[in-house]
Amino acid sequence: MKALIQNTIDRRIEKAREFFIFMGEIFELLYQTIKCTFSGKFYVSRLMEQINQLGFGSTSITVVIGLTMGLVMTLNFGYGLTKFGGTLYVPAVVSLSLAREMAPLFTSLLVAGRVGSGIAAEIGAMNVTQQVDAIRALGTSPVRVLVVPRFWALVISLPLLSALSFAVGIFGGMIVCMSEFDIIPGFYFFKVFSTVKFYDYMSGIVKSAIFAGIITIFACYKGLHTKDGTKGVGVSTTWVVVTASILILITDFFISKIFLVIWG
Amino acid sequence: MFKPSDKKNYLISGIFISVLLVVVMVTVFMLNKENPLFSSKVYISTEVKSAQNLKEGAAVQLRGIKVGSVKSIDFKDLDTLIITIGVTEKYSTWIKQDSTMTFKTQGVLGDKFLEISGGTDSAPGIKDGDVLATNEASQIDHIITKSEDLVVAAGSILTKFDKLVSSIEDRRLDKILSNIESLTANSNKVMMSLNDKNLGQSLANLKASSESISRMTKRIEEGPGTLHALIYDQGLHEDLRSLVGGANRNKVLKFFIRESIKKEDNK
Repeated sequence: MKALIQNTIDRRIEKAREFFIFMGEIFELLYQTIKCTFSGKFYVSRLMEQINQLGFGSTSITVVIGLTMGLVMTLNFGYGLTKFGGTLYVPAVVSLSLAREMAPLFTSLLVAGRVGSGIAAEIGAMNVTQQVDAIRALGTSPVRVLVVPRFWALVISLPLLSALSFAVGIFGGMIVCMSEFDIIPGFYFFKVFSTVKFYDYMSGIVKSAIFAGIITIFACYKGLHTKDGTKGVGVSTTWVVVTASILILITDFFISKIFLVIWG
Repeated sequence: MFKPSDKKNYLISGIFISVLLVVVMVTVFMLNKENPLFSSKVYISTEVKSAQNLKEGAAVQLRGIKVGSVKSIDFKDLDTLIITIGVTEKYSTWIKQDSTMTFKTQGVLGDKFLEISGGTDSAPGIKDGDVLATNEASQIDHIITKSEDLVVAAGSILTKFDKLVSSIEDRRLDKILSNIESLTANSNKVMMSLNDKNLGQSLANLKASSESISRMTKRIEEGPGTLHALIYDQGLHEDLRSLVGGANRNKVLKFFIRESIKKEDNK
């Protein structure tokens, strides 16, 4: 019995040790990424390739999610507020929610699913086929070649995609307001642009950039640590999507809190 | 500069970034229309004893138009706060140096804002660093002060009413209510018993009696007759007086009266 308890405790300690090592490696990868960005060669062509794949490739799902959010939120807020005679507040409520939370959060979650899994699968496959080792053998850092372009590509693209999502969402809201609540576009846009302040919009943009960093660092880390052949690639892909999504949701709360403290 | 295979990537990435940057810039330009980012402002201030829950960024209005916002609220000394206000430059000519500010509330949540009012045409417009006077009595304070007497009067009336209600004991109240109920029931019965036919008959009888009484009184009034003479004939009045007075003085008559009373008592 005593041996069993001791064994359980040892396993827990080992798990905790592994977790702290994992966290250390994540921060080390982030550090290496930033260090490689500002020292040595920067692969601009790879950055452009990644912006094309990660950013431009996510445009269609961003438009869909943005439009859907705008339509659905406006419809629900509209019918909810109509009961209290607050239909005229719909543009303000929808635009503020989209700018501060919904556009960056949902776009990041979708991109985490599409891009995070893609990065983990691509780098994981390179790792299990020793291509990453080949890069090392050629005297080049895999972080510089594989991680840095992806990191900056998503850090640049995701805020832009969030902005697109917001713009499309506002457009979707306008369609519902016109058709369901008899609100003319002039009044709708006046309320939207007088309600959403510069810092509301920027908080969404900055949030997206932080989410982009989380997605790429965790995806690249898992890709570079993929083992067990193609089966390991599948495991890494699933792990990245789940972990990145949970981290985005948790981080969102704290970032929102920080922005509220700073900007009110 | 780059390999031909990269050309497509550069093109698509360039278009993607450029288009979305334009979206961001247009959105930023359109946002915050009430507080434009790139408009020049004139900063004025006012000194108050209490900020009355006014927040930084609160609106400043001139005749219902938003002309600026509260930039900062700081302590000048223990008794004085200094509120700095940024006014959009194009409105500065319409805000005169002798204008005053008033705390006001707006919306269902009662957000505070500053209303600029007053000022004379001849006074110069505000410029950076000017200090305007503030009327600190807020609307709500004004209303509270005015309604104080009303509240006192209402309180007095309510106290009296309370006393009146408590002075009526429960039993008495029950009795009163029961009497009222009984009275109503009886009235109802009477009304029910009087059907149209009976009511008509009664009214006819009443009319006949009234006519008869009218005839009698006419006859008494006009005479001749004993009752007419008794009321209107002065001579008969005098005879009666002398008869009664004579009877009072007549010993024989007194004796017979006493004897008659005794006989009645013995019976």
